[in-house]
Formats: sequence, structure tokens, C-alpha cells
Amino acid sequence: MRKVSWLEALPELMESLGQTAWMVGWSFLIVVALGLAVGVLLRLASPDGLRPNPIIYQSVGVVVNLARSLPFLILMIALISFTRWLVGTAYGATAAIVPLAIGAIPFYARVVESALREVAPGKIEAAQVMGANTWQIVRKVLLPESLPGLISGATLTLVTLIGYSTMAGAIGGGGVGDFAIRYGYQRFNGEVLLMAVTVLIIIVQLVQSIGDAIVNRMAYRRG
Amino acid sequence: MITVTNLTKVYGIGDKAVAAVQDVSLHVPSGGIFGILGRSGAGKTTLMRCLTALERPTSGSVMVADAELTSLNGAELRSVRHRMGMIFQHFNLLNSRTAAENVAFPLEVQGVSKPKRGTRVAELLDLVGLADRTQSYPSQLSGGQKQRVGIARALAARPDVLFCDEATSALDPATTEQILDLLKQINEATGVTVVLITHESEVVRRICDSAALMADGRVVEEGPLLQLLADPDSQLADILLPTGDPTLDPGQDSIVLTFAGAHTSEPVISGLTRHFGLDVTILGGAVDQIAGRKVGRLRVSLSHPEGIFDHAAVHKYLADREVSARL
Ligand SMILES: Nc1ncnc2c1ncn2[C@@H]1O[C@H](COP(=O)(O)OP(=O)(O)OP(=O)(O)O)[C@@H](O)[C@H]1O
Ligand SMILES: [Mg+2]
Repeated sequence: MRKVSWLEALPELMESLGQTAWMVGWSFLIVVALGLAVGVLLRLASPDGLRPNPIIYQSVGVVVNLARSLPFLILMIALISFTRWLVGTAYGATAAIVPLAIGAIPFYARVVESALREVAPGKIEAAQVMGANTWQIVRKVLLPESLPGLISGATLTLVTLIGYSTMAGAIGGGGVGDFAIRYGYQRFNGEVLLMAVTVLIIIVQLVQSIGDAIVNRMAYRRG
Repeated sequence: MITVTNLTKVYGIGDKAVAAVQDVSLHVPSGGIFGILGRSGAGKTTLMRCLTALERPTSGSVMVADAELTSLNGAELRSVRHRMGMIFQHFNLLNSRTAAENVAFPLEVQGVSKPKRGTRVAELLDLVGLADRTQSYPSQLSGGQKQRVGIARALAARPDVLFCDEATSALDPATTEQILDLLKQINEATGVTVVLITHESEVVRRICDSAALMADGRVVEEGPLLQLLADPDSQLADILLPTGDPTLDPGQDSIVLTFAGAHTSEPVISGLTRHFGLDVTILGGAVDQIAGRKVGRLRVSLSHPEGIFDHAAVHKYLADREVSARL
């Protein structure tokens, strides 16, 4: 079999990138939305939170820790039947969104919880004395005040998702990971593998720099 | 405005229990500026946290504007709090909001419409002298400016009572004076009741009408300043207008004269010499403008060349001139 040049493999790489963008993009949106919700819940229910609730705090905490301690590959395999039940198939880029999201929600939830914990208690008490209810404090104090931390945590989550997505590729999710395995591992095509790796590095760098730039601009204003 | 009855707050349990506030009763009249003075650890912050329901008292009752705070549910408490404003030692402004947005916060919380918020915010920032910094973030403001934003925010929803916890302790003396004068001016213009806690007697001297002195979780003295100052045994009076340490003059029988009346400018001391032939030695004293009055306290020793004098007559002479003393 003739060795494929990087130029010839480029269209296929583009297609893989599209699949990666699909699974990472959707899972990222889901992770941010649900991670925020779970993180806020953990913060509110924690012993020094606005609505202390040991039962919720402990039980959600255990589930979150459990999911975080499981290696992604294992989680993905463990979730196969759940994924099939949810999306109808356990194969392909759309199916990969399920384990990606479930794997990263606990991570982002903890990031959110600790970012919210950084908000000075005095600011929360000031809002309480002004008669704000819990939801108003979450929306107008906790989330805006911790926004830089929430965004840098989201950046980290996005980078992690890109990493996880290559593993998802290995069990049939498609994307850049799948591409790299096919060319680099199955065909030993170093040139094409190098191209895939380079593209991945550039994407990760880009995501990180954009995230940092947003945070820095905010920090500059807020001091 | 505020009535506290037998308030006790104990932190911790068992051996580690600390009674931060013990059996405190006090009354804050409407419309004035009430100071709570005490050293570090006296329980001032704890008391104020009970007044704003940030802390639940261990026992006792707190009535604010006819509402018993300890018996309210969440929604009722929030609506009482809509009538409260508070400013803090460390300002507690939101870094994510501009000065104007910070001031708008309590209005947003109470569901005031955006156009109305805009007018009110502009009005308040103007009142506190920050009309040109509305779009600045807290990080771009000095301590004094931040506290002005804090005051504007606390007043935004036209509260009945304004709580100040060490509002000037993080500021330099000149800025402290400006902020205190601003509070006084606001109190006079709007009639808002101000309750402030401080460990600086200067704050009480400069703006308060009445005060309470706290020590070890208890209220030692409480009342209108002029009344307290007229009491020769008042500890608060001695803190506000110190007359020096009596133990520095052993062998001298000293008494404290308090001049708080309209006769302050009358030469009472030379009168004692002229009318009673007394020798008056001034051992210490202070004069200041307090609660809108010029008040002086002098520690003197009185003696007569012949050894005795008519105490009752001297007392009457002083009392007629609104000078209180214990002979
Ligand atoms: N959350 C708490 N848990 C345990 N003890 C507390 C707590 N808050 C205050 N105390 C104790 O209660 C006492 C009174 O504290 P408080 O903060 O009310 O004093 P303060 O008069 O405001 O002092 P300062 O001028 O230093 O602010 C102190 O002995 C303090 O250690
Ligand atoms: Mg204090």
C-alpha cells in the first residue's frame, strides 16, 4: 500500500476536525450548563453556604467524587448501554457527547464550587442585608463576582474535553483521535500523525490563550 | 426605631462557648445618630449582626421598626431589610459592577424599574460627590471614594435605618472626617436613623447624639450624650472628654466639672475664686463640640486658705450655671 502524503490526508483531517468540534462543542455547552448548576447547588448546600443541607451536599459530593476518580476510558465503556438508551447508538460523534459530558460535569462542578467559595462572605452579607433572596445573590453576586474563575475553569474544562475526545475517537467516536489512530498507529504514517498532533496542539494553545485573554481583560477592569 | 431586650449571643458550645453579647438591652431613638463604642472584642460587631439578623440571638429580642426580627420568616425578613441600609469597614462593593451599578443593586433587588433606578443612582452619586466617577470600578477608586459608593448604595432604597460597622476604620483621619460629616449631613437632610459602631471615641464625639458604651459583651452605659456627659461618674464622658489620670496627682482631692449648658462661656472658675475665695487648681480637661453643643470637662481641685468652705453653696452656684459636679 502506497504511503499517503500529509496533503492527501488533509481533507480527511478536516472532516475529523469537524467531528471533534461537534462532540467537544456540544459536550462543552452541556458541561458548562449542568456543571454550573451542580456547582452552585454544592456551594449553597455546603455547611457554610446560604442553604446548608448536609444530605444534598454529601450525596451530590459522593457522586461527583466517584465520577471524577473513574478514568475516562472506563467511564466511557461503563456508559455504553446508557448512551445507547439515550441516543439510540453507542457509536459515532453524537454518541460520544454523552460520556464526554458526564465525565466533565463533575470536574467543572468542583471548579465552580471553589470559584464561588472565593467570593468574600462580606459581599454576600451586604446583599443579604439589602434584602436579596438566595436566587438574587446567586445571579447578582456569586456568579458575576467569580466570573474570571468560572471562565478560566471553563477553559481548562474545554482543553480536557479535547483530550477526552481523542479517547472517544478510539472507541468509534470519530474525530482527530480516531484519525490519528488510523494513520499513526494502524499505518505507521509518521508524517500524517505529526500533522494531526500539530493541529491538536495549535487548537489547545488557541483555546487556552483565548480563555486567558478574556480573564485578563476582566481582571484588568476589576483589579 | 430599635429596641433590644435582654439580648444574648453565645458562640460555640460547652467549654469553647464565648458569650459575645450578654444580656444587652438598649433603645435607639428615631432620627438621631446612635454610636456604640467599645474596645476590640467588646461584642459590637456581634450586636450589629443581631440587629441586621445576620446572626440569630441565643436569647432575647430585637425589634426594628416594629418588627420582631427573631420571629420573621424569610420573606418577612427580606421586606424588613428593604428598610435597612448598611455600610461596612471593608466596603463590600461588588468588583464586577461599576460605582453606578453597585448603587443600583438594592433597587434591582427590590424590583425598581430601570429608568427609575437610573435617576435615583445619579441623584445619590451626586449627593456623595462622585458624579464624575459613575462608570469607575471599585478597583479604580480610593478607600474614601469606595466608602462614598457604599453610602450611596446603602441609601439608594431610602432606608429608615442606616447601620455602619466601623465605617471609617480603614480610612485616614482627613477622609474619616469627610465621611463622618457626610453621614451627619445625610442624617440631617433625610432623617434616617444612623446606628454606628466604632472603637474610636472621635467618631462618637464628632457626630453622635446618643451612644452606648460596650465592654465584655455588655452595655455599660447608654443614653443621650449630653445627659451622659453631665454625669460626673460617667465612663463614657471620661472617654469622650478625658480629664487626665487622677492617680498622677496623689494627695489632691479632685472633682470633675462638666460644662454643657448655655453658660459655658461664663467665667465660672474665676467666679468660684471671687465669690467663695477658693483656690482652683486645674489638673486636666478637655473642651469640644459634642451633639451640637460646646461641652467641657475639667478636673480641678478646690481648696480654701482656711481649710473649709460651704460645699452646698458652691454646688448651688455651679448648678445655677448648668455646671455639674460632685463635691
Ligand atoms: N463567629 C464567631 N465564633 C466564635 N466567636 C466569635 C465569633 N464572632 C465573634 N466571636 C467572639 O465574640 C467576641 C466579640 O466579638 P466582636 O467581633 O463582636 O467584637 P467587636 O467589638 O466587634 O471587636 P472589633 O472592634 O475587634 O471588631 C470576641 O471574643 C470574639 O472572639
Ligand atoms: Mg467588630
